[in-house]
Amino acid sequence: MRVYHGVFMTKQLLAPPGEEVLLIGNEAIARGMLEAGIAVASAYPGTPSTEIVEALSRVAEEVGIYVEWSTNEKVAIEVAIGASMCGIRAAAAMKHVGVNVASDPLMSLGYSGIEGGLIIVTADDPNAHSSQNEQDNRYYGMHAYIPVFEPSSPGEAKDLTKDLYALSEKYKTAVFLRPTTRVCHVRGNVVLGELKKSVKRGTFHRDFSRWVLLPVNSRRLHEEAINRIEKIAEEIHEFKYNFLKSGDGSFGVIASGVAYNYAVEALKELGVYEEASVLKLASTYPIPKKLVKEFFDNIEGDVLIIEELDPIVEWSVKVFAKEEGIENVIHGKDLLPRVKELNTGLVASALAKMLGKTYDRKIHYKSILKLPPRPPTMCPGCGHRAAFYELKIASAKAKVKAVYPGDIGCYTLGFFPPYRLVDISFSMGSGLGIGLGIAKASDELVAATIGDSTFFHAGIPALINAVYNTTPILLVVMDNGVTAMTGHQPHPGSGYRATGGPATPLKIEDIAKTIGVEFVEVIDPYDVDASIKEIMNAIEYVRREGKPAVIIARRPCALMVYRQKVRRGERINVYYIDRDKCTKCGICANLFACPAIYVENSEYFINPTLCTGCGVCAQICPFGAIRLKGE
Amino acid sequence: MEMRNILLCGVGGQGIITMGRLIGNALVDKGIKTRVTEVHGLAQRGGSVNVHVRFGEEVYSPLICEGAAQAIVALELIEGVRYLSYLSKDGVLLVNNVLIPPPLPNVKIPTRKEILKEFKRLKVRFYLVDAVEIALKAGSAASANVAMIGGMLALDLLPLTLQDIEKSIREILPPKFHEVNSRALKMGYDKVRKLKETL
Repeated sequence: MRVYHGVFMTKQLLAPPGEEVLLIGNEAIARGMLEAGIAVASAYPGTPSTEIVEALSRVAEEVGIYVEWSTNEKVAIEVAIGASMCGIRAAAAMKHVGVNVASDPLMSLGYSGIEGGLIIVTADDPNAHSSQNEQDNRYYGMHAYIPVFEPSSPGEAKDLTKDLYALSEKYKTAVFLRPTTRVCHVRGNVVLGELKKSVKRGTFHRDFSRWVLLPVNSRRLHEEAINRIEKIAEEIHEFKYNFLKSGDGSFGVIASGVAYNYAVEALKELGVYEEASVLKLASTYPIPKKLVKEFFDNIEGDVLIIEELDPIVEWSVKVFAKEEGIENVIHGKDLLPRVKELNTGLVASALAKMLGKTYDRKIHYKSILKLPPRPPTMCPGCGHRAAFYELKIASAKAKVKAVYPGDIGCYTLGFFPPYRLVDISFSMGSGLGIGLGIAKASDELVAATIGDSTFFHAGIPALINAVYNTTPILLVVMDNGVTAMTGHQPHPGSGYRATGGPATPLKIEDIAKTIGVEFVEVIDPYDVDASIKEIMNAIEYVRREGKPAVIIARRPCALMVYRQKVRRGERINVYYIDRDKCTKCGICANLFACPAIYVENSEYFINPTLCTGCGVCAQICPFGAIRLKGE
Repeated sequence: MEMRNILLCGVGGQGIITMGRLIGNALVDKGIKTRVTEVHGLAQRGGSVNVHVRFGEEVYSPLICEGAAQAIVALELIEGVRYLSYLSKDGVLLVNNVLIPPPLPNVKIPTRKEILKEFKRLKVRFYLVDAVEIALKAGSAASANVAMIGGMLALDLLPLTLQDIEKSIREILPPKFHEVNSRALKMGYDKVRKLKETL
């Protein structure tokens, strides 16, 4: 788990120029922003993008910049655009799917261009390590006429980020920085440069011709955007992050982003690095035309284009090759997968195929033991687990088999057995919205779950919809007070901001009532019987009245509370299982399934190093066998 | 220096990412080209966690290929088995003698005995360490990860000394954890060095 300890990270992030330090890719990007002198940074947290603005938030006060966790990605990008309109350097960071949320202003930004340098970081997640999909956001660059740049390592990410601000201002365009998980979450050597004093305050650059996207302007701006991209395509060969290594002309590879690393190692492993012409691309939209031409001019044989996910570079290069009458055979996704991540082995296989060589990777130790899977789980003491348990029991007691739309956050883990209370997980806030459709289109009882941060992010419009259209639906807000999954960033209900507190927290129950929800109850999931009763009341209300009901299951994130206790040196009172009373019914392990409870030789135990002392298991044990130590 | 691949693995929450960070920091301090790759977010909540540590002038890729790790350092037995395919032919497995069953209902969990038997059947060169016991003696069970780094040093898996890692500990961890971790580091080192001598 994350080990950032304020002062220590600050020290590294602000270390003097010339020093070589270990930074994770996202911190390196943050440092690059500081070396470019940004003054405003905004983001909604999302893996693998989170640590960029997290890092900036920790040094914001010291360097005097403005950093915020915005309510969602759309607002984040808008805040950054506003700062740019005042002529100061800004950044908005988000995960790939966050750009979907921000896409409306993004499309206008592609037309309008910018004033102060502006980087939009889209952290893509090939392999969907921590995401609902593997979407390739380079399409957004093409879609919005915003150039896309891909770093290949933490060190390069830092330098590239810094230099992109000058490029952004030179062409008066926002730029996409597109790192992927294996850049964002890779630690590597970073040589630090000079920290630039930023221009902290600007003045609004009034420009009706660019900022007001009425048709009269839009048609002209559309053409300007196309011309701008064309101009960049003609000039970007001089950008030092695109470079060419010549070979003997027998074959070549073009590689972008993290795939460049796999390409180099695969070529070396096959013993053909010297022979290969290698074009390393940072600018993948648009591609640097002159450099691509030069690359092909010196190659007789075939070319392999190595990139993760979709064939964006491949398509651009093939179109360009056709235009230029280049006749080399160009391979890409015919030899490499379009899904998941690449690695050195996959690239070496593809290269070997192209070159008519054999490549075989040997696995030396193959276990035949059948291993249990180890999916991520809710932490011991997690209020979500208790709330899911209570929702399950309440449904059973109310004799309903409900539809359970879920949402995006730690509570998506309610999908796994034994809870199985996530029937749908689409995108931020969509559980409730889709639930509304199910409730209108069927006689199903719909019980949707959503997290507190997700509620603020995208849940409120759907709840307004439920009230106004009188939709019978139960919404359980799993409220742990923070954006927990990404590492405890504050949201509008937390009571403090990215750079510290205090702020006036918005209460979800107040919002629900103001919207017009008539049944709004707050429960403490640690109080099992009362919670079950209240959820049953809500189910009963939804059925009887045909209107929405909101239950807010409120318990601060157990992991955060646990860490605070440890930091304060507080003792944690743990529970144990009384052998004499335990009937081995298994309810605690099989229905509640806290990671602290385990079975060994058919006996049930509580691991004292994992137990957080929440006491929920003691309440659900029908035989009173789970007791507080020292009781 | 020769390229080295070390895979760290275990269960989310055991301090595997911290291990990677302590090691990586010390390597970079020595001016060695380093890549430490981890996964955050959803994947880390009590799930199977792996961290790829690679270093040497020729290192580009952040990922270790299967069959190419000179060492696997596992903080948990099941995870030690899970990642065995990454081990190179002459590779060594340093494994913490702890079994954490995943909290899944009605799933068969291999026993400690079965796992150790499997290591022997595959003729894996392995060192079994009671890192939690060592860490408890040092003052906190949470330092088992650092005790394992001590073990790595004893097996010469890293071009680093105890002092190098101690420096990392001071640079990265909060002051109140410096002493206990330095102790765990040394005790882990001593323990594995003794194991190495007896094997």
